[in-house]
Amino acid sequence: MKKFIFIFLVLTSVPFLFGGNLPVKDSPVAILIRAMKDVTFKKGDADWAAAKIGTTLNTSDEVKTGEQSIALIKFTDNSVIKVRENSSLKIYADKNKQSISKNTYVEKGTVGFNVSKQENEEFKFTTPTMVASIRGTEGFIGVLNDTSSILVVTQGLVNVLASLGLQQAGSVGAGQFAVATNNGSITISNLTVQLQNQANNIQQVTTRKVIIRTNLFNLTIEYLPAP
Amino acid sequence: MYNVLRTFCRISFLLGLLFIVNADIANAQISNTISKINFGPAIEAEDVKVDVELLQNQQITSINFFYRHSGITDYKQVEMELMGMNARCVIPGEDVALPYVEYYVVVTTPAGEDVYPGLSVEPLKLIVQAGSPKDKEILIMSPEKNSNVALDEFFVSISLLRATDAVDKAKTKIYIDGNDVTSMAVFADDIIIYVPENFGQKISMNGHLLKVEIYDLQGNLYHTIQSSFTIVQKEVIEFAEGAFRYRGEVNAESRREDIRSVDTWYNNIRINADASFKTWSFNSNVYVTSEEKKYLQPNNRYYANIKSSWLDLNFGDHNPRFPSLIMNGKRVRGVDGGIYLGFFNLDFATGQIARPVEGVLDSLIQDKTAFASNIVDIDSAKFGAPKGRLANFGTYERNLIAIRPSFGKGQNFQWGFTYLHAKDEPKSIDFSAKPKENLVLGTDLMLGIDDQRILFTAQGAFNLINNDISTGTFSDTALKSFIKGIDSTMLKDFDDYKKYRDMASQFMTINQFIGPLNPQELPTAAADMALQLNYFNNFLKVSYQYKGNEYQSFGNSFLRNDIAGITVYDRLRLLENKLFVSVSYESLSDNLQNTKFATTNFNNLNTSLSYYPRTDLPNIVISYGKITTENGLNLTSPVIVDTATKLPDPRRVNLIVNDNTAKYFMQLGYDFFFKYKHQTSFSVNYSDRQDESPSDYDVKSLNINLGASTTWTEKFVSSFGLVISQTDLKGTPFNYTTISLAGRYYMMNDKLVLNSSINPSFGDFQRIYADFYAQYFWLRNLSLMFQTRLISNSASGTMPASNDLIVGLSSRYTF
Repeated sequence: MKKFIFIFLVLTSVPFLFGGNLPVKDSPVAILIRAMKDVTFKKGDADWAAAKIGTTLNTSDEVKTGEQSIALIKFTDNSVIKVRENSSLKIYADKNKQSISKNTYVEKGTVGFNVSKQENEEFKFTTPTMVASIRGTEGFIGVLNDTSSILVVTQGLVNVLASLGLQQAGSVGAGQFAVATNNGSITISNLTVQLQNQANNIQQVTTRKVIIRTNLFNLTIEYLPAP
Repeated sequence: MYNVLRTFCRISFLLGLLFIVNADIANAQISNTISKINFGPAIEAEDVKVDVELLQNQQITSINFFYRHSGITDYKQVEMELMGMNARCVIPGEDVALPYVEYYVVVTTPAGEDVYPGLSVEPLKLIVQAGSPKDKEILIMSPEKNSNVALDEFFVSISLLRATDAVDKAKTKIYIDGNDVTSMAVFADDIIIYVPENFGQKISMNGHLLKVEIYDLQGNLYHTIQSSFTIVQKEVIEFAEGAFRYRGEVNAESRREDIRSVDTWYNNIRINADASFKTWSFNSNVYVTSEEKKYLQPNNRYYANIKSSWLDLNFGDHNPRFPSLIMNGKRVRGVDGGIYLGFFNLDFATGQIARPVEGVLDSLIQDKTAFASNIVDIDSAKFGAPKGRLANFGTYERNLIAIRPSFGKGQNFQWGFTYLHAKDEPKSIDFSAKPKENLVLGTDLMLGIDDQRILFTAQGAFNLINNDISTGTFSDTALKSFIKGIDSTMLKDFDDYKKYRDMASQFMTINQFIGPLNPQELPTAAADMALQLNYFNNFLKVSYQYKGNEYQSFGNSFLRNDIAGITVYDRLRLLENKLFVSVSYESLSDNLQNTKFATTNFNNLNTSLSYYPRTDLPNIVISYGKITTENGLNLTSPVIVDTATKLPDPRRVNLIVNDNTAKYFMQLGYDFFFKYKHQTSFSVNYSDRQDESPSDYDVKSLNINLGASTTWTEKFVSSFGLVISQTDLKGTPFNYTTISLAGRYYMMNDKLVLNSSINPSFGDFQRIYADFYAQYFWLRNLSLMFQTRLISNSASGTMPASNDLIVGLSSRYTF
């Protein structure tokens, strides 16, 4: 119950946590620069719709990817997140003059990030069990089936805070990963070869295409190459 | 008012001169070997490519490029790669600082050194540009700069998130290949999107140029940025990102030089190849030339590199970089590289830094006691005599090994330890003397706080040197004799000394030629440390250096030793990076181990003001410098006065050092459009050295450079340059004027490029040299170039007049 209350609070309070400068709803904060296969988005109360390249995203918009699908989202400060297959997230951003603070709520799935150092701006990822503040880092964040979260850092340093229970905190450096569990504990360890490979694959977003040409039609199949 | 000023500037520049074509012509100074120096873009903190074009390259054994920025006194040196009629190197970004980098070039031939622009002339200045802060106000979200974009994924997206309130975002204009597509773009607050497909537009499958202009609230152009991208098939991207990629280039040249009636034929070929696979990259370079001679150090170059995020391996000829006190700029033929794991890293280098070159024997000498500076011991069994008189000393093969383990990634912290050992191989040649050995130990530390806005760096090193290892390590008998010579009572501990010798000889040859002899005075120690603060648009760096008079590392032959002191450098950025004020002061002293008659103090003050308006007004750099060098001696100093005659000893008066040099520099640079596109520049460089010592070697030097380059059409570019040089060497004038006229013309649908120039010099230096070259592109990736150069030298001193001719043919193929 405690967990659901927390999720509810996160979902409802994030927009307000950004404080004094309430975001302008009509002002786009990000754009979809690549959408492969099943990528949908949702604006406010509207229905889910198929997303295509060039779709603009405002604060509170949601993006979802299906099986073997990828979405690349670029914020107006040029930072990029890579939404891998079977993922779902909600974007929150607060523009203040020439800067933008971003908080991406990852409900499920895996999201890769590659963010350059920026002054006076923050980039946060929130999951049901973790809040990660990143600055000049590369890696990925994932929500596991039991809603515990994993954060892998290949470059830079990330501060993490467990959202539930013990609410442990820590810093995850390059070559390390952290797991935040439902009881609020955080375990930080060195990367395994498997996780390092996974991190490399998540940054790789090139897809392959097979075109079957017939006399009547051409069938194009786009797919993600196996890691 | 602004328009009036702008018009005035344009007209005055056009009428007053046909200004500097480019920096190349401005730098056209007299030299027997160097034609001109070309630089890549000089942007603060970015590497700058240097390309020296040679008039001829007969007998050149090496070319060294010396440079420094205004914050330091010592010049850094890098050995240039000699490639046919060009020599190339790179100034590392860390040394590219505002407002300019001073430089000169030394060409070494068997006849001596040719210093460009001349020993009595102020070093040349390469003006460094600051990046525009306005660049950050326009973010190109898609397509990324220099990227390959799949045809079905192409769209343009611009973010004006960072644009200031002075910008009217709605007035933004977008151009693709010069075509205005703004009317088809969608403006959504900070984001502007243009999707050609939505308007039935198609973009071709090749390279394109995106230009974005933003305007201020009054409708004036505020800033422009450009970005290139290439449209390709998606399969190409898949291939490029996921598979093996490669590119290569082959250049071959054949050239005949007739210099002062000496005919020489040169042939060379250069092959470059790059490849990458996923996160790995490979690079190779082979240069083979007919200038490769057994009696010289290598001119051929062989290089291969393999690199990933954690591994870097170089094979062949490479210049590995270690802490600068120990190894920097030295070519090693062998293997070097490093493993970079972040918390632990390991750099290493091993190979040959000098290859054996045999000396020239003049005559054999049977007298074992014969002694002269050119008489050396030789292998009597081999040559039938114990000694030989040499016409030329040979060069021993010298091998080196260096290792540097370090801890920390280097973003906030790194601590390293370096070991270097270099040794001559005494048996590598027969005719030379005094093979040497060098051992250096050092440590370096880097601490960075707040994104390196506060940065502390320090390094220290200590070396041992053995100046003659031909006799090897002491035998027991020799050691006993040596100790006895110092103090016979020490022989009671002889067994201990033997133990120490055995232990130390594992690392170094131990004999009577090892130094330092006075280690307590730190003659072979060196250290430097620096603290830099970068806050409030102000960059401050305070550094201290100490280099003992015998400090020497075979990994860095160019260090100035016997020097200590502080340097302070401060640079203030004002008006959004348009105005820069910098001041540097250095106070150094030598004679650290009291090995000289007097201590010389070097004080160097440099100030500069640079203004880069980034509008249609000229850039301006003004600087003033003052160098004072004195050692406190005068004609009445006891060191100078002969004790017998009580008068100044004529042989010692030249020990007196007391001179003041004032330096003034101004440069205007102005690129503008008036009927046609013009690039212009004008600079004045004046220095006045007042020598207060009895030598009275006063030198006054004035250099004025003017030039202009005009693009008349897309096919035709012309340029004009003028150099006026007036030098007064202790009352003897040396004045000359050089005019440069050049043109470039593209014809046959750009398949043929014609380029020619004529550069006459008048006055005390008289010469005319003319260039012509034609390049024809058979295919897009295959071209042939014919080049000819005529140099007409007037008689000068003992040198008779001569007409020199260089004719060459070269080809270039890329794949």
